[in-house]
Amino acid sequence: MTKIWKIIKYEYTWHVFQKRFIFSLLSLPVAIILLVGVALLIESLTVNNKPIGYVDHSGALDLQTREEQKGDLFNPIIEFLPYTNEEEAQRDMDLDLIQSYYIISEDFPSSTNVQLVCHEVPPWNIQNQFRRAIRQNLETYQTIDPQIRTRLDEGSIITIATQDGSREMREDQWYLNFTPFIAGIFFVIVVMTSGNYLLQAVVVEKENRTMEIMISSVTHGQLMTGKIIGNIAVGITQLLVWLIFGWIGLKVGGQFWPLLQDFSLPPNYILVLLLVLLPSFVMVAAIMAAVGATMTEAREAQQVSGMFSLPIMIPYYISSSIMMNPNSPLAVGLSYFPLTAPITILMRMYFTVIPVWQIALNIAILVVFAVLAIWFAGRAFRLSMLQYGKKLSFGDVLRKHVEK
Amino acid sequence: MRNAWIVLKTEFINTVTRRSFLLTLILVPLVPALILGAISLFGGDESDGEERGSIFQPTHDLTQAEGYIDLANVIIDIPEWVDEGRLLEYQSAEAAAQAVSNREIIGYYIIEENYLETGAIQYILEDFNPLSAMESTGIINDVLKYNLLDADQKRFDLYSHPVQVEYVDLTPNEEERDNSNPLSFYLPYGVTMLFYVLMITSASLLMNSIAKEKENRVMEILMSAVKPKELLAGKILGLGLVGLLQMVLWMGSAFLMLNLGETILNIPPNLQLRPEILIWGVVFFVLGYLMYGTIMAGVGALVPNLKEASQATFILILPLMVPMLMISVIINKPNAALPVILSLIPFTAPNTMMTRMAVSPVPLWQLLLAVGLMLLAIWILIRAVAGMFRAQLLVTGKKFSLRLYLKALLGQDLGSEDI
Repeated sequence: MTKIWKIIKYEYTWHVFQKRFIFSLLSLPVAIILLVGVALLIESLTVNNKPIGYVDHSGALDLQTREEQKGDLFNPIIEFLPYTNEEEAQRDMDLDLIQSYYIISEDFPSSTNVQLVCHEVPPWNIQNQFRRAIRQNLETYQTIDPQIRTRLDEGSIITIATQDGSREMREDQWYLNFTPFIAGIFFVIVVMTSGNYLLQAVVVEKENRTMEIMISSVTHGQLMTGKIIGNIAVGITQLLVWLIFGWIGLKVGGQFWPLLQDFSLPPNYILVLLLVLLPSFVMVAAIMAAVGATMTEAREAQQVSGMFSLPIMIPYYISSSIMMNPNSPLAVGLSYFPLTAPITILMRMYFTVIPVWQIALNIAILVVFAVLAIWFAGRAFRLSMLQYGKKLSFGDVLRKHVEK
Repeated sequence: MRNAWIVLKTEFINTVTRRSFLLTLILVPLVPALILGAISLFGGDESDGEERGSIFQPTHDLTQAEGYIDLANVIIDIPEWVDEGRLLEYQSAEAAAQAVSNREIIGYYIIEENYLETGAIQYILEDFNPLSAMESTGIINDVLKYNLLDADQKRFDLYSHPVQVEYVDLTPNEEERDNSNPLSFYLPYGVTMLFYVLMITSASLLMNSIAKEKENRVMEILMSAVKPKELLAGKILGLGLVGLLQMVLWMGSAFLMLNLGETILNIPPNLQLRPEILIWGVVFFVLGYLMYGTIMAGVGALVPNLKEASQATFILILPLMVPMLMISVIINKPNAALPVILSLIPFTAPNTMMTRMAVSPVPLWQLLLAVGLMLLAIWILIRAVAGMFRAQLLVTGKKFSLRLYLKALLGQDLGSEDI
């Protein structure tokens, strides 16, 4: 046991206490902040907050005294400027003083037809502001009881829930639907990086023949176990640091942006998450180790390992289908296939209530495959030590076993 | 030039016959093809053949009956436009739950007692899916509004549609894109991704091959027989052909898939890729490859081994990623100022242009200008990098730094302290 422990410690410290590790730790949060920042910047630059003109032939409207509305950077409150005729409005639009103008006909309240002259149809939130302003001028609206009027304007707040109340989501918190995506991305990144570390650890030591010396003092099983556990520990460290980053980000960001405080996961979701992610973590790591053991060159190993990351990402490519029909045969099928299972289960669990037996079966499959992958990695590794410098095919690894 | 031809042939044959290369060549188009096939096999089962395209759209059945429990006594009357039996009233949550288990309704709304103050409604669903549930709450919202306006249809109409807007668009687009279809985003996105991956892989293939030969000292032997410039030309052209082969195959299969997919996925004709995109794709790929390939070849010439190259290359290919960061803007407004400028700057041009072309036609003068500017930039770059391809630099084991690279690129004489 002490030998395994030594290998674990070596693998862990070798990665964690290095500048490169800290760099990769910081690069993801920084990249996210940068991406969001750029997206917000571009979005705010494309918002057109020039006033909108209107030509009121009915003379019954007053769109300038409006009740207070809250605007923000992306939904600015647009000012409505009155014009006496179309020519003036058109002239100001040509001078780019207004973005567009409405023409309201003489018999306004009896006929609700208006024209909007524009170069580009304004976004719906700006058109809604106009509708709201018009509504306030209507007689029916002014006679409504104020409480009912508020309810009409603000609409209902619908909470979607299961019958036993175990799952709940408020309709206006739609952005929470991004949670499984974010969790999935973190999972993929952590699995792939720690898998890659493992791959490198095996291939590089093989390439520079350190392995030959190592194998004289530890068994191949000890070496593999130690390396797998050590590198998974590195991945988990990474995940923990990011979770702490995320938690701090939510707390700090929540002070300025209250909707961030709504992000939370139900405890049983987290529990299943861990049960699903741990075996898949081990499985991918073992596959990577096996690839590392069968390859002789680091560069080639990297290319082959890319093949395995492809199926892990498949659920992302068809995420809309999984989210809309979480119980379709496609989604259920993907959650049984070990490589696509982690992300698919993450998404399905968020968008439906998966029966307990299905989750149990999924986890069981993952555990079985994780054990198989470890066995395979150990086997491939032993054979590769016997046939040093020769590339092994997957068939080789299995066939030799049968012959024995 | 005979030597350059030999280098070209060796590089091409060596790369193409590698097993991992053949595998990626086949697998990359195969995986999406399989996914498409799987979607058309499984996803379409529940709906009619005509609605297979709806795999990307909600399939929640909006006609199924739902119940409501009106604790606030708001609902006086169900308006006529709600289908008979679509909304059923229940007196208590137990009765509604019973109806759910009897499969009479798929879910029910509980309108809370203090609805007027808080607007609170519980929407209890047997099949909890927040995403599709959101699609179906429109009806209860409208029914409640109708009732808040004293169940008066005229007032409800006036309230919800105070104006009927007729749009007078002074600069109408010739081709209106259907932005409600998610494919209108994914298609250009896919094209850009493909282009990005192709360019990066073939450029780094070039760098790898130079750096590797430097690392295992094959270079020293080569130098005795081939002139450095011949080596550079041979390598750029040889690996460029590999990339071109990859690109034509991938793009071709993408076309095939989209044409077949037309029947499976119901891609509307105005969202489909136009054939000229393939031709321009080849042009921009060749130019983009020449540019980034040359840059990477320069790195390859200077690095002592592969590991040290990775960080520098990341910074050098950063401009290629700029269009990826702004892809939503480019797709939504392909002819706005920013995308046009990006598609003219040589470093961001190939990617941006392809995205723009996938969305809407690009004026010919812009295409020609971009090509012209890129040719100019490539000419300057090749001259600079050719200067780096000197036997002296190719064989040293000098540590690589970005500063050294830029210095060499600017044609400054690398003094003895640099080498």
